[in-house]
Amino acid sequence: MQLYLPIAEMSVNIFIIIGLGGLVGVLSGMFGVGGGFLLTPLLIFYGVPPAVAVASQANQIAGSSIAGAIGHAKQGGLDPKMGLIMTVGGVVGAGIGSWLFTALKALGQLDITIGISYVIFLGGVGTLMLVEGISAMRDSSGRRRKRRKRTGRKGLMRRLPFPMYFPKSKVVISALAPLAIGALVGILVAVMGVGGGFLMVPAMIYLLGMPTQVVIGTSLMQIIFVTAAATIFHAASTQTVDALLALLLLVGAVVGTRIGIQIGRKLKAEQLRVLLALIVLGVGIRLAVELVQPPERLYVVEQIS
Amino acid sequence: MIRLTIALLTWCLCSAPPLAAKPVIDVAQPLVEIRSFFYGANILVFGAVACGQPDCDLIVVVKGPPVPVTVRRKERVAGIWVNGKSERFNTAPGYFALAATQPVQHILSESGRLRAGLRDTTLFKPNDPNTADAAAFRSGLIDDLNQRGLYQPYTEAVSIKEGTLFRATLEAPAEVPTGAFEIKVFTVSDGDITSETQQTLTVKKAGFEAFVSDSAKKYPYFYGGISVFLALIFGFVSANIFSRP
Repeated sequence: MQLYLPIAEMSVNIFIIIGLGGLVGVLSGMFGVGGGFLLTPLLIFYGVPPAVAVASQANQIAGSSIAGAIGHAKQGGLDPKMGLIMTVGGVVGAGIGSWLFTALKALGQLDITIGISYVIFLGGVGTLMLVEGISAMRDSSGRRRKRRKRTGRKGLMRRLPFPMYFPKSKVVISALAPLAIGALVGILVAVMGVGGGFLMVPAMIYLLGMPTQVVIGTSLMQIIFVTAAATIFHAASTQTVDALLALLLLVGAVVGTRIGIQIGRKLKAEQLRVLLALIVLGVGIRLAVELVQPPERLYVVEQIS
Repeated sequence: MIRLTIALLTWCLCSAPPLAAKPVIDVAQPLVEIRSFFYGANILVFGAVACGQPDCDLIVVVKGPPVPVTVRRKERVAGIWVNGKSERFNTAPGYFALAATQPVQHILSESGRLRAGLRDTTLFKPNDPNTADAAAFRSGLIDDLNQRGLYQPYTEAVSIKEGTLFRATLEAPAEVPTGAFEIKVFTVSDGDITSETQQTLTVKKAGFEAFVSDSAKKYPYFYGGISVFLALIFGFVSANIFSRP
């Protein structure tokens, strides 16, 4: 069944869009990742203009993250003070990112920037996951791997100006650290249409030294506010938010996530991780090929609205 | 009175000179509305032409509103294909389709095509025609539009019944631009245009689609806020449905 998207200005197959949301939802339920970094490239492969894909994805992630946050709320675990600072940084970052997005769009270099960012990102994340997954598979048969030193960068974080005590996380770090991490993630949200959890979570554990129980809740808090802000910024500056597209993806994503959680419980985590890493790398390679391959058509047409 | 009218009508029809007579044309759907399930439209142009002779030739042209575009050429920089040099076309039609009884080059001379405004060089004029590669950019633009079904230089879709009734169906894809469309029907004889008749057609978003796209343009902050609100509500409700035992 075809449906006309009012902002993307194209007719799409409604089942394919819901299906894409569902597929990525299953993966995100299985692995506990947001999945935005897979859904945005998939939308671009389907033919959605990259700018619309990114902006609508920010909108979609706001919805799926609140669903995740409610599910998480029962376990508790939130550092509101840290979350607030990261959100402030994130909103500023989303503003910078949205400005960059508008400027690159005007220069005609937005699509290529989104493509390159994804290749770097998916390549990096995929490789890390693959290495981790393979070594975890090896170790699961033998003795447990030694935990990485969690407080490695804490010294530096403390030496920066404006130290602050975070009672919930029980750490004293410079307020600039969560602010900067939040801002970096905010830029990624606006430029790439990702939630940024896969970057923020490790940063919170390894750089900020936060206890793992509060990490998920705090990152979800930040993601909800920052994706919401990014959506509004995009709507205001480039009018590329397709709310209908976002809602269709959401329908698929929330159902898919539930299915994914069920599947994830029954399967072996290490092998799943390797599988996800391969999927991530596959999407990254596909995008990379598009960048280096001689294009089918040398001339691209861009409508000025 | 009726008799007189009929008599007058008959007189009119009979005495009309065969070549100078303008065809009477109409379009089946003068208003094309883009709604939720829109996936393209067929523009049916029909009418009566008084050419009489069997080898009567017709050209039907549907031209969309000018859509300003920038055409960029991809260039290889450090192994990656990025957008390089660009050229603007402010008056390029966002949609162009031509249907004729025979290929236009066979029935219309170069000057005739120029006068009818059917040449690519007049349709797609770059803002700066002096650039060396203006022609290359033009053909790049035409290629792209052609690929998307927005430029159809020739279809055989005109049929004439008994030398008088004609119809032409032109296809417009889902991504057809919105605005005022111009329909022109030319009668052609001896390599030249003998008459030209015009009609208009409007393509616009309607219903929900129009509401969404209008509010996104007119009240962007409000639209953005509503989009976020809807997504949050949806996420909230779905989480509560699923979390029930």
